[in-house]
Amino acid sequence: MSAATRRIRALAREAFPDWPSRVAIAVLALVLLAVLFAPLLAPYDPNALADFVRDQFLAPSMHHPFGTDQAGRDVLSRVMHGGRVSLGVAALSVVVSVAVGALWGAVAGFAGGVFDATLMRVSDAVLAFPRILLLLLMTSLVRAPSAAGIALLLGITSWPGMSRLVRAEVRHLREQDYVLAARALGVPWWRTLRTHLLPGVAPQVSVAAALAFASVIPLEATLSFLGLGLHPPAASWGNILLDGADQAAAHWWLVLFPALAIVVTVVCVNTIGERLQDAIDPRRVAP
Amino acid sequence: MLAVLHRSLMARSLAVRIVIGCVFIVAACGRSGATGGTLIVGAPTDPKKLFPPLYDEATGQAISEVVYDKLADIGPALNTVGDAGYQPRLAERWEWSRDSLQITFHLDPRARWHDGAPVTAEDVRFALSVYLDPAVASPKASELADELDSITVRDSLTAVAWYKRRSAEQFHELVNNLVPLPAHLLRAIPRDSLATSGAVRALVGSGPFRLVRWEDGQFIELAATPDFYRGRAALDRVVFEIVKEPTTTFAKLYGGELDVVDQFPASEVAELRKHAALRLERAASFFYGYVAFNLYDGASGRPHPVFGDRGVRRALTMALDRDAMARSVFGEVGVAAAGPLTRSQWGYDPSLPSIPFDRAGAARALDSLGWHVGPDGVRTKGGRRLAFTLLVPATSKPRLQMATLMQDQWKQVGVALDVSSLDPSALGPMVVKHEFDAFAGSFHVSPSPSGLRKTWGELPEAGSGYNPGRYGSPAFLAQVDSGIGAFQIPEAKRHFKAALETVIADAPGIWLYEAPNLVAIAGRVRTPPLRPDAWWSNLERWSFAPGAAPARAPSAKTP
Amino acid sequence: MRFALRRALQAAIVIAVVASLAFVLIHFAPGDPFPSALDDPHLTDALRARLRTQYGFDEPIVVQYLRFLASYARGELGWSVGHGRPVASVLATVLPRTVLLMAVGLGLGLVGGVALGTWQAMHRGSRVERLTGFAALVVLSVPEFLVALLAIRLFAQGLQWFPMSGLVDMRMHGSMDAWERAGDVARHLALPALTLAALVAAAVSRYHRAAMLAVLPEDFVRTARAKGLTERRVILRHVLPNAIGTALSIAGLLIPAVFGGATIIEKFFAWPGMGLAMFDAAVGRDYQLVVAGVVLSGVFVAIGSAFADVIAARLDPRQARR
Repeated sequence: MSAATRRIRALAREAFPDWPSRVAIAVLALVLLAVLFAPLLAPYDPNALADFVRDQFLAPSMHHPFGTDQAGRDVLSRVMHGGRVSLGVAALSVVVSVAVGALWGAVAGFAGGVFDATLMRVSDAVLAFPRILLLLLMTSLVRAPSAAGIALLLGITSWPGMSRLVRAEVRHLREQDYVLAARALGVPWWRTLRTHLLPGVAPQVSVAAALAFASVIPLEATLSFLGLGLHPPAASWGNILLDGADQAAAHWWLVLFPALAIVVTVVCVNTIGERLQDAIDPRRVAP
Repeated sequence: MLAVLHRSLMARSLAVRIVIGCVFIVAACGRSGATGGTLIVGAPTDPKKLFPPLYDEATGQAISEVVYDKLADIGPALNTVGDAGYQPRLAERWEWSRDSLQITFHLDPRARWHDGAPVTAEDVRFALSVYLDPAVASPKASELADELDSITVRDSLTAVAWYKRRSAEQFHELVNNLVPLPAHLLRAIPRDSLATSGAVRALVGSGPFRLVRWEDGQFIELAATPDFYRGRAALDRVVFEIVKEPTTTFAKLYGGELDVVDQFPASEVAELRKHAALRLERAASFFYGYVAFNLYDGASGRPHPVFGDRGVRRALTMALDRDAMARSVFGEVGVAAAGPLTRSQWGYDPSLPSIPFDRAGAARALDSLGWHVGPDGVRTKGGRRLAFTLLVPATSKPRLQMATLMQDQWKQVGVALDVSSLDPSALGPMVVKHEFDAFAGSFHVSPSPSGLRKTWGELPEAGSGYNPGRYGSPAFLAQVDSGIGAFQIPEAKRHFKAALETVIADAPGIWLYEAPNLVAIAGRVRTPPLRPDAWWSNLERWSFAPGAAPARAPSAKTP
Repeated sequence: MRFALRRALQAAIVIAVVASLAFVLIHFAPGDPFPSALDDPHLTDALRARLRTQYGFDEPIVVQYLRFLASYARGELGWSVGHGRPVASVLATVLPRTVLLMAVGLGLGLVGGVALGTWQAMHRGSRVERLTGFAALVVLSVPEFLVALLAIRLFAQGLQWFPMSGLVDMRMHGSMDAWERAGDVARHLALPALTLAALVAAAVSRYHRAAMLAVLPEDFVRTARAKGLTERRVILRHVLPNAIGTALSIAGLLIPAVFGGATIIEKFFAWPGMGLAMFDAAVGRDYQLVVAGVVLSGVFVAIGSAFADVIAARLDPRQARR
């Protein structure tokens, strides 16, 4: 395991040599802190309305840096708390997608033959389904999707990509000498998979996970904006956007800040993810 | 001599000028029809059905009503008792039998279907058979079946409606719900395939506009009926353009791409006022939002542990500042509903009582009913917390916003509200089966208050009522029935007022708001006064201000 | 040839699985294609039940599934309740519109992305290169619907370069001749297509730039440089042809992605194509239209990935055996 730790350290040194990636890390850390510690840091209760007539649509000020919304709630506090939902959903969905995808791909790649072909056709089928449509149909099966439910849905619609990646890596590693040796020595297949193959694909998977995380945040926002995601009054970045969208012309702060939260976070995660990828495999044809 | 010559020259040049002028006019006509121009209406929904017995939402109704004429049309005062104020349409006049069980309609001999065939009494008789056929499944069927026995043909221009019983609104129920249909085109089509037949999409009507093109999801294009019996419409064409995304709708309206936007949201009023080229018509509201309490425990017959108690329901109402809520959500045009009706219905009476907003009073009332505040700030009684779930359709933004406000205000008196917003397809069956505590709904009502019977009076199990909270007060129902049976408006009003006082005092629900009915119209469009319930009702008399009919697109060549 | 046949068979199986999945999902979703009209006391439950019986939606799902299979076996796609006409006729209307949008948007996006990536490879390390790279990253990070809303706000509402939405000018289209009509559609196409192109270009440019950079250290590039060719010539003549495979296989893989993306673009620009029709059908539980659309999309995906594989095999024969 120490070899893996050392490798990760080396990667980190190699990965972030330039200022944009460091800025990205700093900004992302700031966002994560603000979101994680929202209950302590947020100036107001995100769902508390002081006086919903008097405090409605207050423009950004010292008291309300991001202004207030239609019900007089503090937009900054809502964006901070909403981030917990948005980022939490994104993280959980990536965990699901990695868990299912890695297992699926590893088993397919390791087993080969008909088993491999069958598993891959199933993942093809999920890939062939227009994703927005699949999500729409699946969310409609649930009465009122919870945050965890949305994460699950996002995860189980995104694992096929991950499974392809892992399968390709596993097939590549399977032919390596040390794996062939282990198999020749009669090490059971599941142990070979666990001790030799999965650690081997870990760096690729973690980078793919970071990039998937970055792509899921806008998707969750889109779903919420279409009314297919978490239902109000639960706040996520997409929901806050939806809440303010029809009043954006008169009250720009209702839309600008949640939108910025999404874009800034995603840009940072993408930057970091790409640098990591370059570090793992500089010759790989990918951004 | 000179003078004569001069005069004839003058005459010639005048003649030449007239001829040239005519050529211009003809050229212009040849290019784009008459000078009436095209009105573009932004439609928020894609009407799937335009056929009169089948339409089920507002855009479909608007289009259906300008394509098909009725026998008679409700007057601007929206009276529904007797036939006062009704304006002749396909029927140029009508007479009542002495016992009021028959009404004889004399059709306008000039009336024609859009294919040129005359409108006959057989079309009226045929229409009723279509509306009442179970295979057609018309939402209007129950209204007509309640009143009408049959329609017979006396001669080609005379139809007689035979009623089962006398009622105050028997004329209204017939002419409002039954639209004559072209029997010569539809008779051969089997009833169970009528809804899916091309004839229903072809929409051959009798109204001031005829259907030109129907591109679902995109637009519905109407053109003025050339030889319309009540006089050709001033506009050449009316296009209902389907724009579902509200932000896109507003952008198109402000940019001059749309002339009319129906169901304009109150939240956008402030923005609209910045555009001098647009005006806002505030039509009467026939749409109110409410919270229905389920008086029984779920679908069972046991009283609900919270809402079974009239005192609790009243206290919950008292804890809400409904005026402030309506203003918060709808801005300057927001109005709290006075009861289970809107102020535009003729049953409304300004002296109706209401449960006033009194937060301290609500708290005291709950205390006296045995609901005491527990350690977590929520009241309890006998181990039961004063907590419940409100079902809200995820598609209704105003009600979602109101739910947030209710949650906050009830929290202040020790009531915990959980809001569950669901897609209508998931929520609908739950509401119909009474599987809920409280439900934030809305009702689309007609000018007449007689719908109270279905919405809050009759128990759903007893008939065709839609009364999700199952408020079944015999007193209320009796008073509503007296109102429906009264033949004079003052008498009917008195009964309805008594009924409304009963239901408001019993508080089986909270009447939240009257949805503002706003129509944004481009300033260059000239309209007669709009009928408060239907802006399209006199569309044939709309026109563009002289010289303001939209010119051809700048990129296009000019003739 | 056998390879191609096997691919086709696999694709057919995948499509069958996808269609069945769509069928099951849409039929288990609550609701039906008839309006739920919660606010209209006239639309009673009894009425809806009658409609369900009429269309056969009250039968057991297995019976409905068998009927669905039988109708596809006969080559019938079924009836769209939402549109009130046969599914085939609905698809025939909406598909050309989406193909138009996709062909223009995807084409412009690919060309633009390759051009940008190539330019970036030529000017690697420059400030403008980094700035354009960052801009592409930002475009990729903004949710598509926000890009669409911003584009409408900026270019249609603000600058008024384009019409806001829709397919044609409702007011004037009727009085136009054929050429003017084509021009009218083109004006309406411009903004959604350019928005789509921007999204595609942003993605392609990043992949393509990376592919270019990966080819740069190759020996033949060094040889070319050693021959004294200009950097411009080296890049365009030697690096670009060897790096273009990535962009081309993305082109294949983007077909389904553009189909999914087109839903959002079509929805916000009110472009009445396949994506919008499918979205509305899914929301409105227009069962047969949804299933037919999903089958069609499966066909697109199969064609797209076959295309990508062929390209990959052409460029790298080792891949073909996979």
